[in-house]
Amino acid sequence: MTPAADKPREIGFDRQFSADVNGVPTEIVFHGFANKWFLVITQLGKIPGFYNVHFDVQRDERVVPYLHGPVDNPEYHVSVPIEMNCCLGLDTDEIRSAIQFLVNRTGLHKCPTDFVVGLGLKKIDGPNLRALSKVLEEAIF
Amino acid sequence: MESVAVLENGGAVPAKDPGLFTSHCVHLEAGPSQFTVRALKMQGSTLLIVNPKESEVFEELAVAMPSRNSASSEAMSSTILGGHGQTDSSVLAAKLSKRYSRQFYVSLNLKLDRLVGPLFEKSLVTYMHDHLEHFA
Repeated sequence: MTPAADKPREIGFDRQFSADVNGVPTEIVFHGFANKWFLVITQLGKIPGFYNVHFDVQRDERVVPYLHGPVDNPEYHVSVPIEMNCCLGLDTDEIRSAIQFLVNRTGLHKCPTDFVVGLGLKKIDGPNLRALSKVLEEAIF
Repeated sequence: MESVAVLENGGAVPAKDPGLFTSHCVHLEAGPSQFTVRALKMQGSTLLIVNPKESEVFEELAVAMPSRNSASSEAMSSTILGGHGQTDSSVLAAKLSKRYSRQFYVSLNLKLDRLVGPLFEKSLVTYMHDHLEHFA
C-alpha cells in the first residue's frame, strides 16, 4: 500500500470516509442539507436500501434524560420516537431496529429535521451496531 | 457562445482511509444560474445531488438502471423519494444510466424551465465527459 496519509483527498460531502467496523470495511458519507441530513453507511460497496426517517417530536424533547447523558440500561430504556419509510430496498425488522439503535445511540437524534439514510450492513447485531455507533459518534457528531 | 465554466472545486480535507468510494463537488453554471453538483462514485453505481448554488436541499431522489435486455438500450427509472411518477430526477437518472451503462441515483433539486433546462444538461454532461473519473 502506498502511504497517502499526507496528501489531501478531495471529498464532495461534509464527511466521506472508510472505517473499520468490527473488522468490516464500511463506507460512510454524511452531508447536512438545509431540509434534511443525508447519511450513507454501507459494507456492500453500493446502497441497497434508502430509508427516510421522520422524528415524531421536537428536537429538544426527544431524549428525556439527555442532561444526564443517555441511560444505558435496558430496564429504563426509552427509544427516540421516529417514523421510518422504506424508499428502496428491504424493509425488515432488523433494518428498522438498526436505524432505531443508531438514532438512540448517536448524534442522529440531534437532527433538526428529517434525515435520509442509505444502509447496507452485512450483519446486524449488538456488537456491530455498537461499533458502528462509536465510529459515527467520533467521526461525524 | 455558451460554455461550461467551472467556478471552483469542493473542499479538500486531509486524507483518511481512501476506501472504495470517491466523492466530488463542483460548481457549474448554466446561463444566468449557478448550481452545485455533489457526486459519490460507488462500485457499479453513482449518486448525483444537484442544487442551486445558494441553497442546497435534498427533496427528490430517483434511481435508474440500464436494461438487462441487451436488445433494449432504454434505462428503467423510478422516483423513490419526494415526488410521484416521472420527475426531473428520474428523467436525468435514466439519461445518465443509458449513456454510461451504470446505475445512477439522482437528486435534482433545481427549478428548470425550457430555457435553462437544456443549458443545465449541456453544462453537466460536458463536465461529466471531461471528468469521467469522478462519475463512472
